[in-house]
Amino acid sequence: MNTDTTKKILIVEDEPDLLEALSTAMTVAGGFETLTALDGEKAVELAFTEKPDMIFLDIRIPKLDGSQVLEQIRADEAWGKEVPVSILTAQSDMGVLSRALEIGGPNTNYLTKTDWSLEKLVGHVNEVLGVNQ
Amino acid sequence: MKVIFSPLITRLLYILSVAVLIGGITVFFLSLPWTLEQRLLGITASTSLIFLLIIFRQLGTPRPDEPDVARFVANRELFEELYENSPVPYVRTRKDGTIIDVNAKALQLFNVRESEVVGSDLFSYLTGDEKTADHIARIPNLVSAGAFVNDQEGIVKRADGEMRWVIVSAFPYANQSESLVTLVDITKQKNIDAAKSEFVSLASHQLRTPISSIKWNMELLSSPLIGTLNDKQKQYVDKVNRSAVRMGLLINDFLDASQLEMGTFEGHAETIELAGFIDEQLEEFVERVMSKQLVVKRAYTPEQLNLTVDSHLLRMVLTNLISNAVKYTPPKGTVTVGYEVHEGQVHISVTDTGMGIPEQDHEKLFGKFFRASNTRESLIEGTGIGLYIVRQAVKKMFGSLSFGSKEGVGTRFVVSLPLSSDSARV
Repeated sequence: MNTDTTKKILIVEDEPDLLEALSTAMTVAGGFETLTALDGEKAVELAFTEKPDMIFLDIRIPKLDGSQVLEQIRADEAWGKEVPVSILTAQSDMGVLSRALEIGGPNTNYLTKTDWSLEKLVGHVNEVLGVNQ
Repeated sequence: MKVIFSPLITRLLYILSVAVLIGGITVFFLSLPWTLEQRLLGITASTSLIFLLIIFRQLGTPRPDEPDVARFVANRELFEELYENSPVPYVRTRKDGTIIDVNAKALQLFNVRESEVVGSDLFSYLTGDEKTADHIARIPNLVSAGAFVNDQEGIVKRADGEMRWVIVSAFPYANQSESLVTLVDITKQKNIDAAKSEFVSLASHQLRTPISSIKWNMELLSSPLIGTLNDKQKQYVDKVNRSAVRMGLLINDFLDASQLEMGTFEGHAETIELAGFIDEQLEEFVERVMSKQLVVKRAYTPEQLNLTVDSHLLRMVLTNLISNAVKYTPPKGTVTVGYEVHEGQVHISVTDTGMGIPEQDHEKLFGKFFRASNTRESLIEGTGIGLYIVRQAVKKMFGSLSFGSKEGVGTRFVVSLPLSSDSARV
């Protein structure tokens, strides 16, 4: 875990425009440090080297899909099992989503992109990390 | 194949054998060392006896069997033709699944020659995927126990490695020693289904992603943390935002409707606490309720109620009904949301003091893209797909939907859902 108090968030999103907007909101409005990955392989690599405090994870991403990324993270007995993961997706296939939620187990949320403003997402992170605004 | 003679030949053979018999008897008696009278008496008595026996036999059997044989032959030829030329693949098997014979369509399905398939095990061709393999493996047991197998999904693995999806039915005959198996090829339909699901999934992703991008980047643009916009700029940004929000909601509606229509909607029943669940949906409308100064009343009886239901479907129903109520109720009006339990059903109601639905529109209300005649003049935004979704979703939850409305007074929708969990399957 981090020694300094700034919380680290990993954002996994294959759409650069969305990735940048979300990352900006998290740093500027939330005061968090962000790590970004455009595909599943990069996500797994960053997750295990940086061990972030929280992860935003898209489902339909290249190389490894969100469920596969989640599976690898949750396989880690210490950090990965506990880290809060919020699945942030445009996906509406409930079959795919429920499978991902099943893999994720507790500490896994599901948010739809179109329904969440950046402001609400910053609030969501604060809530998940137990940070007082 | 067993040899069957035509009726005419059968009759000729019959007469011939009687003649031979009488001839034989005559020769036999003539050869005896008796007097002529004795020999003639013997011949007469024996032939009379034979004719008597024939007459008695004819009387004993109801009808000579020539017409039955004809019918039997005709029927057999008909059945053979039906079996062989049926557009449905047929396989006859022994108890253990060994193939006795197959028709032309089955050969085509297996993509083999008849000699290759006869005598082999049907279940070396017929399997299932992870969901259906067990059911397929149980077919021989079921059939040899005398049971019928109806419409079981399975996979035929062809010799060339290609897989075909089939609907398997089987029934035993010949005292359960054999069974007839039909295999209807549904590969094409399966592929279409998969393509539809893929389309919906792709469309939702492809359409929602740019909308999210517009919304989020507009939010950053208008954020004081990034910089300051002048009032005019702020107005334009707000307009773009509103359009993006509207577009997002529209896409959600269209995708919900198409998923419900295509049957690609995968249901997941879970137990929810209804009062809390409705409150959650109401929260989504706080801003609009406040800006129109509406009064929202909650009428929950009992105060808490556990309900096993597909929450995704129930959310669709509630948000659409509440959204309509909020939309079509003039400022300072009242929206009442509640539920009560009656005879094993929960009746969830959404009531408003809105503009109401003109009586002539009541019948068409749940049609796709229908909008009541009085809404079209009122400049209230809407696509008319909401109530269509509500009706489809309620049907999917095995519930029923009713409403009452009076123009200028208000509208009340009641969704009735079964309480017991076994009927909440989706």
